[in-house]
Amino acid sequence: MDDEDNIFITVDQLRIGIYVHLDLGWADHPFTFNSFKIKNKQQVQTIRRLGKKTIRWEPDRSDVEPLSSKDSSEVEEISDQDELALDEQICTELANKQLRVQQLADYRKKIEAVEESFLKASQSTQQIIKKIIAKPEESVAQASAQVKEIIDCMSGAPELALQVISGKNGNASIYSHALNVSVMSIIFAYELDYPSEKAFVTGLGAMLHDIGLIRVPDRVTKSRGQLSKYEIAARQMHCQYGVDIAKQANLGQDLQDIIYQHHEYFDGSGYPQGLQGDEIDEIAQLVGLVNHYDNMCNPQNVSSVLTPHEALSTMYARQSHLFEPRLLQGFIRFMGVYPPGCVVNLSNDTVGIVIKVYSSTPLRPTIIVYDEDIPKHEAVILDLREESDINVSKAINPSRLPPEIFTYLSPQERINYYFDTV
Amino acid sequence: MDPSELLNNMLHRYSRDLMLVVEPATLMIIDASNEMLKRLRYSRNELIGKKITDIDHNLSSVIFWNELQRGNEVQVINAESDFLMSNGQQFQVMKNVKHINFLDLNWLIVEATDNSKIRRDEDVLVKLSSQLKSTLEAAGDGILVISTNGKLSNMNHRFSSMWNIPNHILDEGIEAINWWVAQALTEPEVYQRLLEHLDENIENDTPLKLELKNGQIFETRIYPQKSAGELEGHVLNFHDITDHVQYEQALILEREKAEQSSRYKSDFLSNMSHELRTPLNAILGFSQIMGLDADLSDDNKQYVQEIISAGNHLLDLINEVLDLTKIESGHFDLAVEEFHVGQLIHECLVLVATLANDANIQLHYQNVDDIKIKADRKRLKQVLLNLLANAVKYNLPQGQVYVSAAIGKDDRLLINIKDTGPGIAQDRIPELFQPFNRLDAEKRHIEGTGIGLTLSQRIVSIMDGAIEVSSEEGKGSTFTINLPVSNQAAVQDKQAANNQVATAAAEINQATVHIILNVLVAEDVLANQIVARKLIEKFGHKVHIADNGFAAIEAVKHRHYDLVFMDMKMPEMDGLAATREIRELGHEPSQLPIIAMTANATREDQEQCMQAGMNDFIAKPINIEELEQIFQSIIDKKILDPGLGQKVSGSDE
Repeated sequence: MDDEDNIFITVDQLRIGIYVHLDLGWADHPFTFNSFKIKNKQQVQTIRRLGKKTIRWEPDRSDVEPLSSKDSSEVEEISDQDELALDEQICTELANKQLRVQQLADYRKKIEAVEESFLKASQSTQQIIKKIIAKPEESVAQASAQVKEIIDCMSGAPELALQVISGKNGNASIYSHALNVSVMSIIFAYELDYPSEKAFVTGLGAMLHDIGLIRVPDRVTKSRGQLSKYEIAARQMHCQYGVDIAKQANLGQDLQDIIYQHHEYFDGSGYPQGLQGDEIDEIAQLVGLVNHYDNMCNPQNVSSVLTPHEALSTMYARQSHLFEPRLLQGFIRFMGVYPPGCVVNLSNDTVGIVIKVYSSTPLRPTIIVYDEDIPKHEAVILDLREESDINVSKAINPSRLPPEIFTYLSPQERINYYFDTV
Repeated sequence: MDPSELLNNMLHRYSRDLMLVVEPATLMIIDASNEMLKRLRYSRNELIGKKITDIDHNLSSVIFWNELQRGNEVQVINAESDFLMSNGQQFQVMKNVKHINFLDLNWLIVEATDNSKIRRDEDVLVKLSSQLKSTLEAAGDGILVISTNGKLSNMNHRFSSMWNIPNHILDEGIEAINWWVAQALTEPEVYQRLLEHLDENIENDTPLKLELKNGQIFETRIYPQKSAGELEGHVLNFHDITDHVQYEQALILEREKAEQSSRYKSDFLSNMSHELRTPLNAILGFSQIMGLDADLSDDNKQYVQEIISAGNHLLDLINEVLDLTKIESGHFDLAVEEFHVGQLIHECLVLVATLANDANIQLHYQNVDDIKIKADRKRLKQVLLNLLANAVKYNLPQGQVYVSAAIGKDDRLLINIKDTGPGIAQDRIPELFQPFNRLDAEKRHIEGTGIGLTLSQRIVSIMDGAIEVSSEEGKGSTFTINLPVSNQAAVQDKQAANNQVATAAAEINQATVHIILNVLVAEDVLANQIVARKLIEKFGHKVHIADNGFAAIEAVKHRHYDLVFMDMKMPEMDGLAATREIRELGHEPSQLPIIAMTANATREDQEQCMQAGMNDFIAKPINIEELEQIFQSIIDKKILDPGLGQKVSGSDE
């Protein structure tokens, strides 16, 4: 630390534009953040009532210099009556804060519960896919059960939220493309008001869409570099292989269509048949779009990885011709512009990671906020639906985060999604 | 005032800002500041009436405007977006959208700041930081960067994995990380001290070794991180040297083992040869005595001669093996002295003369200038004798041996020994110097130990010289001893004064005068006592025996002796102590020569003998010729120096 006298000022020196660190427990003050830039006179008065004589401030993040000690008389005193009213207000806010602490704890539990369900689902999905050749029918039965379980959880919920799996559980080994695409497709299906039976077919088709890859040599599927012309052709065979396996497993035509057509694009540039527009099965279009998104976020070659926001922006700005317009719009809406897993800057100059998004409020996700004064496991979870005066400024690339923030927010190399019901 | 006029004024007043006015219900642009028109490259008429989403068109903006139209959003602060220009290009902005309700107006004001340059800078920064990150991760070492105010600036995965830092510690920050690192060490203070010294502007070139409790060893280096000359922090680089250190330790251990086993070998050989020499002493001694007996039958004389010859062969072998051992164990010391090379060669020629005569070989020596060098005389003599003996042994009947000495290039002494033997094939020359490789010698029944040349080569190389061989099959071989003389003070002595003295003594020797010497032999082993007594008596001298050092001193006190043979190792009082005592009694070396007898004459032993006041030493088993030489030299001195000759004929008995 530098000269400590410069860092601490008396509460009388506070004014609008000063960036302060309260150095109190989060529950011990009425503010949303432990450190922030003072915005109004009421905040100045509130800080003065917190019982601290001195306050730590950060010159670099402040717009103005603190009042000099003798100038402090310039701050108008407030009347006893106002003082009383203010104290009362602080008390109420502190009580609310206690409530929020409890809510935060509940929230954390909920997040953890979702992550646990995800872990189970991910492990069993990987098992199912592995034995698709050896025991196709048993494997398909298990996949159906898996999708059914997800759908049972979702149906009846007033609203669905997409949640990203955190660093603790979201490592690369647990990443399951099949489950990721399946979960996103089912939520998307619900957003499009598909009936349950159709949502089930969507989810099962999504889970099985890449089963044909099992017949493509590992050299091709696991390659992290540029594929040759022949390797690309070999890889593209997985649609046909998939249908072959699907037939062996006695899957219906609807599922076979999803598996065969999930690489077709709306403008006819896809494969294997180069179908166009409505020629492509409706569900295959949906699964194809979700598959396209997941491949951008979680590519085989890690160096070409895009953040969820980058992937969505690319699809919107440069690849809109590949998808049916209303389908793309709906997807963006339900993924929420700043999809879970995005690191974002907020309008109040804080940094956070989006963990959950609700399709009804795409610009107002739930965010874990970095605050150096609060330990990571107690990090503030900010539901932007409740904070109307704060909005997301922009998405940022995790690679430019300072290491302490990176560790705090721990954005993942692999983006795993699961869902939450509200 | 007309609201639109008011608006117009407002826009002009803020004309330096990028501003747009939007109608919330339709999202139509209803006005713009001049600056905004300029930046978007639209005329006012072109722009008004367009939808805001045609201009403000990135993904989040489009969603925002849609949400706003639905009534879900009201404003936005500091949001990033892209504005589309009339020419299709776009530029980055930071924008604020605010609602204003003024009079009966309900407008949205879009305020923007051009972000292109900042964005470009940020892009460069992103590239640089991703480069840095990849570089950090690509490095094989663990890297930790700490800023001057003690904060964590950077680190790589290798760092956390090599220290096994659990996630919760990493989450807690630099203090917890440093604590973790320190507690993992056998001496946590080392790391703490290192951190304390980080405040100073240090650059630590010599790496610091950190030993971990789990046995790993890391090496750490510290580099200062500076910006515009100001110290910003330090980079701590950790390199895992566990394998390296283990390898090094294994090597050291192996080397010690090898050295020890080599020591064991040397010790064994040295002890063994000592133990062999003692019984050999008795065998040779008694056979020599027996050989002098005139009454022996011719057959028996022949047998005794065979015993002596076989014994001597065995003795040579033991001595040579011992010398080789000494060279290999590094215990071979040189006793450097100045001497005449010519004289040495002469001595050697005399010694091989008998052998040459028997084989009917003629020896030739041409000595132009006498040369003085500083070297180990005894060892050089050993080498010369070996080469000369070989030249004789491996010659053809009626062959010749030519010996010459000269100073060659670079002040090196060259002694050539040329024979007229059968010669050696060129490709077999290297085999010459291998131990026990005698190049068909067995076929020709030539005697030898098989390690003479090996030993000679080693001795000469210790003297910084070499033995070179040139040979032509059917014509003969030349062995050349090549020794440096520059640092051994070679001096050419043309007068060869010493030679003359030696010649004089030899001449007198011819006219033999029989002088009886009183000889004292201090020796504790009975067999050796008998051998010594018999040998000395064979020369006609008188012998007294003392059992140990004390007895020897007592004897010297009470009688006059011309010569004392002193065994080195005796009970009660050893030879060294006894000699010192005798010298203290006033018996000068010139008056009473004391000659050490030792089975194992090391350089240390010799030095100790000389320091104690002994004149010379002879090796056991006693060689009859050597004994004769000693007696002769004492007699010569007595004849040459009248002062010493007073008791020449003295016989007390």
